[in-house]
Amino acid sequence: MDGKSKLTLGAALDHFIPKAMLVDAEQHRRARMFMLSHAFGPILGNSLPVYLFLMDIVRDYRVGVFFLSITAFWAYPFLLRATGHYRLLAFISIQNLASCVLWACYAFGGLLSPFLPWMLIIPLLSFLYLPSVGWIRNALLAQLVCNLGLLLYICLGGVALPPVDLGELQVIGLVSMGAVAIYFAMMALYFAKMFHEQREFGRELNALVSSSDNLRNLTSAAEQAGAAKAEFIASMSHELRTPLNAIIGYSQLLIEEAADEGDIDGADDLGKIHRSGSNLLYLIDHILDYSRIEAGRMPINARAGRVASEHLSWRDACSKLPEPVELIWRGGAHDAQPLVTDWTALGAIVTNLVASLCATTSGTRSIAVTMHRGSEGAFSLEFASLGRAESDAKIDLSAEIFDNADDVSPTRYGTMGIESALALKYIHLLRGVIEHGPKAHGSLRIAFPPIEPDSALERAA
Amino acid sequence: MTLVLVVEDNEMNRDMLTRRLERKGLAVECAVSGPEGIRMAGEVMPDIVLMDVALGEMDGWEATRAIKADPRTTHIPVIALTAHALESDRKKSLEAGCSEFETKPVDIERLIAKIKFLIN
Repeated sequence: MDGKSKLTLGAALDHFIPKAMLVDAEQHRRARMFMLSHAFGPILGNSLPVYLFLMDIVRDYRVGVFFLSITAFWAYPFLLRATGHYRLLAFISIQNLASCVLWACYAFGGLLSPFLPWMLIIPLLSFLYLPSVGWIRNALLAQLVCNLGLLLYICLGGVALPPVDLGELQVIGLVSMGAVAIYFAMMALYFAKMFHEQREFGRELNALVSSSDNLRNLTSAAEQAGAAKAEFIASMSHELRTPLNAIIGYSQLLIEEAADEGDIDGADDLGKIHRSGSNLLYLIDHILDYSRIEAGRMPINARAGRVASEHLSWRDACSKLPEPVELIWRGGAHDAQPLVTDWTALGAIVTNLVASLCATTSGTRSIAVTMHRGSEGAFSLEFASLGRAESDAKIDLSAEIFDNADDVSPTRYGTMGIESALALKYIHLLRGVIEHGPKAHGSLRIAFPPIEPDSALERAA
Repeated sequence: MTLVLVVEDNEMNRDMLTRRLERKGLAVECAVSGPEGIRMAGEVMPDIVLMDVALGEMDGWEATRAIKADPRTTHIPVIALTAHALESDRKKSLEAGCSEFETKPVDIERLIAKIKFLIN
């Protein structure tokens, strides 16, 4: 039998408690107390009339009424389950107990009755079953005063008490006191347990509050670090690009001048400077874009455009990659229709994916791109290498990069790593999904959902 | 001869771009800030303006808006030069009144093609 199906005392008690009370810890605790005392109280209480009967001390209607008034407590759990009126039943139960004690005092000696100490249990149980607030508290106190008044009336000669031999009740008096003591001990233990649980709860709550404060501080520190990083990136972007632009521009100028003067060797050396500068700028651009997207500083600017014309700039960019690639556009029949997207981001996806896909193939550096238009502005791009896959291991590496975007770095994967990682960041920025194509052809398919025009959304990928 | 006004605050970029344009047979005038670019556009009446967008206190977009707001210079096409090809930069450039958008380092052949297209 597993833990869930195991019948525990708590589960048995909860069976009778209304569901509305189970969800509130305070009400649940009170209802549990009510159930516990109604389940076991009659066993303890009935020890008294049973003793009277068995010991042949009293064997008439008085014992019968006493026995029945105690046994009646077993009906309350069923009444609670049937009606759900906890508060009303609690008041009736308290009155039932008071009536029981009043009867025992009337029938067995008045103020000298050995059952008088049970009167002490009434206020105790009253405020265990019901909260000490507002009209409930006042009603319980009024009920207690009325019962005490009735007790005094009965015991001080208001009614004629039946004859009883008090000498024969001495032993039952001890039993009664013992039962009261046991009852009080049970209550005390229960309270001790509750107190301990509340103290533990308080400690856990304090620990949680402390953890929450720590988390808040860490989040704040992370946000400050993110803002500082974004600011650093923004300033570094300008500081790095300006001198690189000068290196690239002047080298290009000098190449042109050297070519004019017929200095072929000089032009060749200058070409190396120019290519190195361009490659460095290419890498820096990728790293800065990656960081910008990660910092949530890359806005999406969607506009309507036509793939038929936009793809020309992609083809141009692919031809100027550090390792140039031929982009072969295989547009579908719907290419002439306007499409709303962030065309700059889409261009970055295309060029970076083309570059990384080419790194997985050999024989040719040509990538065919096909567009598929979906409904309501959704679309997908399919990239297929026209070369043969260089090796399964390299294709697997490519797949690993796309599957683990957070674990890529140029250090680990070389240039292909940063190109793939940046492509993924841009794809996530546009909420696209990469679907791997047939492994043998090194192809990929990316699906994009519709984007609203002029979206001001800024998302971190 | 086509007269190009280059508005660029970085001395090396300004010098490099001037020399490359002159090598292609264009006449070049330079301004080092947005306000100077606005003033010179009115004075020299260039055929086209190449406007760096990161110019310090008055950026290139604001300077372009001022050139376009002046009836004397409103007809002069402006090509925005930015360090990076962000869609947001492109959008800002077009909204400011720029006719074209080019990233640095410039591809001189493509830039010349755009200049010819715009002034014709």
